Amino acid sequence: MSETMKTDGDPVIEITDLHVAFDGRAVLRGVRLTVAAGGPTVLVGRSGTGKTTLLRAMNRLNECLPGCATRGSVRLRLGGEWRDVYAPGLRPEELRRRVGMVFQSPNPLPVSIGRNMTMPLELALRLPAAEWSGRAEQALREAGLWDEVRDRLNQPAAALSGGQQQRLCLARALACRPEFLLLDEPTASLDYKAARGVEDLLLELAEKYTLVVVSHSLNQARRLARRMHVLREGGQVEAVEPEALADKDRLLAFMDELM
Amino acid sequence: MAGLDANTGRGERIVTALLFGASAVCVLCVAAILGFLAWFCLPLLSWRELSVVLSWRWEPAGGSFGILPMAVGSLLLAGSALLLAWPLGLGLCLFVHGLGPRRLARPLLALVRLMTGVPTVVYGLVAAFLLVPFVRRALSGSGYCWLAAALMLALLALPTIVLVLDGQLRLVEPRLRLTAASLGLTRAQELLRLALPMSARGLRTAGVLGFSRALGDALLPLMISGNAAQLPHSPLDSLRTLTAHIALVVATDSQSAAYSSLFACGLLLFGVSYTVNLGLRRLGSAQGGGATGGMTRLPAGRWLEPLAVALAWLSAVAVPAALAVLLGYLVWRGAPTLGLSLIFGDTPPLDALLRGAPVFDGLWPACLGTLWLVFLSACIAVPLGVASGIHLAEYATGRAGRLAAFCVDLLAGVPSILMGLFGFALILLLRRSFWPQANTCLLLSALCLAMLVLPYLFSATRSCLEGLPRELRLACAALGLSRWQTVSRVLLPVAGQGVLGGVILAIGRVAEDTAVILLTGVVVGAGTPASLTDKFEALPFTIYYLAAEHQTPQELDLAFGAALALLCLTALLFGAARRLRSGMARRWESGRSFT
Amino acid sequence: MMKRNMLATVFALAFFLCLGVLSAQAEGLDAFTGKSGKIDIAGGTAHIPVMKEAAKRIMQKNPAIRITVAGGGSGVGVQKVGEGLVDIGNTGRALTPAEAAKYGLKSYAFAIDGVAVVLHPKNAVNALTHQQVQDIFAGKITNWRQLGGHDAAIHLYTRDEASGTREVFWEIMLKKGALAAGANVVASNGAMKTAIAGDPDGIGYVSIGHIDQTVKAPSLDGVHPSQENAKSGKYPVIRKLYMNTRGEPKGLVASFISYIQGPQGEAITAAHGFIPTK
Repeated sequence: MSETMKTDGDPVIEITDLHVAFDGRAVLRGVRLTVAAGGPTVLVGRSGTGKTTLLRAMNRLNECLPGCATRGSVRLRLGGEWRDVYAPGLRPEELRRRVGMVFQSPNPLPVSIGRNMTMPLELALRLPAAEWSGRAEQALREAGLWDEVRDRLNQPAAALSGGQQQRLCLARALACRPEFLLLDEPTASLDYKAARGVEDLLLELAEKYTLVVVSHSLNQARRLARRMHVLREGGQVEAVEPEALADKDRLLAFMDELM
Repeated sequence: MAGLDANTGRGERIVTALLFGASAVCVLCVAAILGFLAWFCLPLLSWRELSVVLSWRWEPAGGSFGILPMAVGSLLLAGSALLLAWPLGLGLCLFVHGLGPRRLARPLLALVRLMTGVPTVVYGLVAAFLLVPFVRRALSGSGYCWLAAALMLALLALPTIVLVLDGQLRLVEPRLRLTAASLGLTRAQELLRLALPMSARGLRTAGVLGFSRALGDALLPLMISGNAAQLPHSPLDSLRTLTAHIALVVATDSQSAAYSSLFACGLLLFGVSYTVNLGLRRLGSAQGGGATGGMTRLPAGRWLEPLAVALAWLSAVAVPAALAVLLGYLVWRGAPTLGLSLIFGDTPPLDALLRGAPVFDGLWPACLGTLWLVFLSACIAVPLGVASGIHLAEYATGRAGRLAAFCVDLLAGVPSILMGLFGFALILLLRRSFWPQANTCLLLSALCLAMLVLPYLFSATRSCLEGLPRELRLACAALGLSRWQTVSRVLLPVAGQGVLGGVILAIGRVAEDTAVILLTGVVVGAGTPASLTDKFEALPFTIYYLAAEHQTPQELDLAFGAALALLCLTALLFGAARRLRSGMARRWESGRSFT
Repeated sequence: MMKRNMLATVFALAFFLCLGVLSAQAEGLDAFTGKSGKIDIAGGTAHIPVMKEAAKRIMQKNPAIRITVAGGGSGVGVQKVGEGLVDIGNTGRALTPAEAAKYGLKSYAFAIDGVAVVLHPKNAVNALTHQQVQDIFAGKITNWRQLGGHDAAIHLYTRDEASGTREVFWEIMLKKGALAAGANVVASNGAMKTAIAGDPDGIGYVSIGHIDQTVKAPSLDGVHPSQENAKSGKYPVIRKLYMNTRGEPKGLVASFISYIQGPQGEAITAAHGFIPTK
């Protein structure tokens, strides 16, 4: 992984003139955005401005929804070199493996906890079975879930609490050792305590991965963001100055005006 | 680790091609059947011929080939059967969903599922020896009449109606239960004022499917409706349906006008069945999609609730009672004959089993024939149906997908007797063209049966896959799973129950069908099937034959024994499929070892 | 002691009788020894019992031979053998010249059979005239009382158009007269017998060979419809039962036809209520 490590602050995602439409209805119109390595980089904006769509454009997940049309360029620094995500020869499966994602509501697969962890290792990474358990354990430890589930790996994932499920999904993404981690309001369906737990975790993970987080909550954005962008209706993206992030009152005023 | 640049994997491409191929085969099947019907109807395409066929007299000896009495007979019979079955089905559903004691709900539903497994020929046999004499004595006429056939067809269509309605209510009702209860509504009020109006689509679908089932059946009308080619004046009159007509007349000279008029019958039958289906879809889309689309308003009177409760109780008593009488009679007549000699006649069982000694006067060859049929058609239909279902749910887009879906819908509207007619005509055509040795045989029957059950498998697979939440697909995609991995490792195992349900239905249908094999190679005596190109015996046909042609009372008893055996066989198949299903679910959910 | 002796004698007699029958059977079956192959038979439903019995005897002795028997009616017999779908197509009527010419069919008669009106055994009517039968089937006489029977509507049963029995009955008995459209249609001789046996007010017609104690045949113009009267010509509604092949029969099929026409076949034919042709 060492060659893929970037110094904090170098750009690693470059989005230019991105248009996304569903069934002819434009959601993003000409978005420009540059994201630097590390983070977390937080995207905020009113509901309906297309934050989730923008996030999903980065790992081409929009294509899995019916009636989607994408135009423009999304370039990611993968394995040390710039790649056009929408280039014809690129395998979306491999891209998505390297760009992990956690959804708004926990989405464990309807299988056991253990199988949730190992299935992507077997199918997407094609790792030999001997390596599964080590990787899974490491990822579960990273997500701070290991001690809670080590004895119940054969139980259905649906039996976990909401916060545990979300950490399981995080661990599942981590087990594939991605270079990017996209998080779509990862704490939206969690209670306060569980949300704080996940937030702390994300701050730790930002040391190793490039994190892009969509958030609704100003407080959360303030706690998490190292950099922040506001997505406006119609698709302009405005960066929030770093000084503004530090000053709570200034940020509040700024956000009031924007949102 | 696979590189980022590698194009879509070769395996993935092969899978996609295979799935596409399966859909293409479905389309070809439909094209072939329709092509046949149209081709053989061509001679009738002149005003003179058409006016001969579309007239009210059927008398081949006198040169009259009118099929209108049969067309009207079909519609009358199916319509009246639906008129009986639909309210009963609705009542049963209401009973199960809260108008009756909760304790009885599960057993009642289990009973209805059991009914789907009762072979048509068993109904026919019992009706011919129980219902027909009863109608004759209690009312008047010969007993072979519209009324008797309508009663039995209602029983045949009932499970379809109940299961569709039950499925719909299960979708709608849980969302309403707490809300309705918190508003102080009674269970009956909730069901009648909220759940049913929201289930308009299910109510319609149930009606249409029940109608199609009654319209397409050939055997019950053939066995108990009397078959006189006339317009009935009362429910106690004899009538002939299009399906029975095809079965009765297919035996004529294959170059005569009577023969080509059969294909007109087929086309008519197909047309009606398809129009009804199409009408349903139009109605559905006109009223807005979704399970909540089209709120139907029920009358507001207070009498509605007590009426519904009365209907629910009536159906909950009448349907099981009818079934108990029919099956009770079957067991009473059939049970004494059960034994090794029923299966093996006077041949030592071990000889027959191990050394293949020929069995006469026993059901062994027929049992084997039926098992072979089930096995062969499952081999053909299951991969094809499941693959095309997957293709349509997960891969196909745009026009190609719509075409395939349309074709399968068409195929689902083909009554079994028509499938038999197709098989028979196919063989005649093959013999006259490039394969003079072609003959009706086991393989042909299996092929036609496979085509008959293809839509079951297709729809089960497709609807189960499409019913899964989109989040599941997104989650898999986000993890970097390929499309086929997502389908084969996550979606299919989750949808497995439903798919297997389709397989069970299909197998049951193959095991019990008589109309298709009647025209494609089944015979009275053939011994155990030796090759795929041989003629064969099959249990349903043996029952049908013995019911009508028994030379002695003992042979009639054999028919009841055979019916009981067939019932056991279908029950066994259902049971095995059920076990398979639960086993599969267990294995998948626990996952591989994780230590 | 007496009793035991008698028993022993009966057993011995029975044994020798069986032996005799068996050896006689084996004789007629000689033609099949060592042969293999298959014969498909379909058509006339009156023929089925004879065909099944013969097939059973042949297959029991020669496991390598497979004979399949199906019904369908005389029309099926002509159609299927004509199209080559079966090896032998049975008919309960003579082929029309057109049929024979079109497919090049050869006919082999093996039995004489009458077609008789049948009633439920409890029906009080025991005699009918030719005219009465015509009127009944034309729908002019509709109540048994008009015939001296009980007061009940007459239930008509007829056969499907593929039936040779129907054709013979219609031509000779009804003189090609009208047939009421409301008559129930059944698909075979056996089914007709079953229907009449179950319906006290029913009337139908079957091959005389199919008549047993479950149905009764009223006399026609004073003549009892029996095979003897049919053979002697006293009973007019008669036909022959034929096996038909496309072209000259060869091999197994030829052996089968001569077996049916031979002494063994005659015995089977007679045992099933038909008069063998000589």
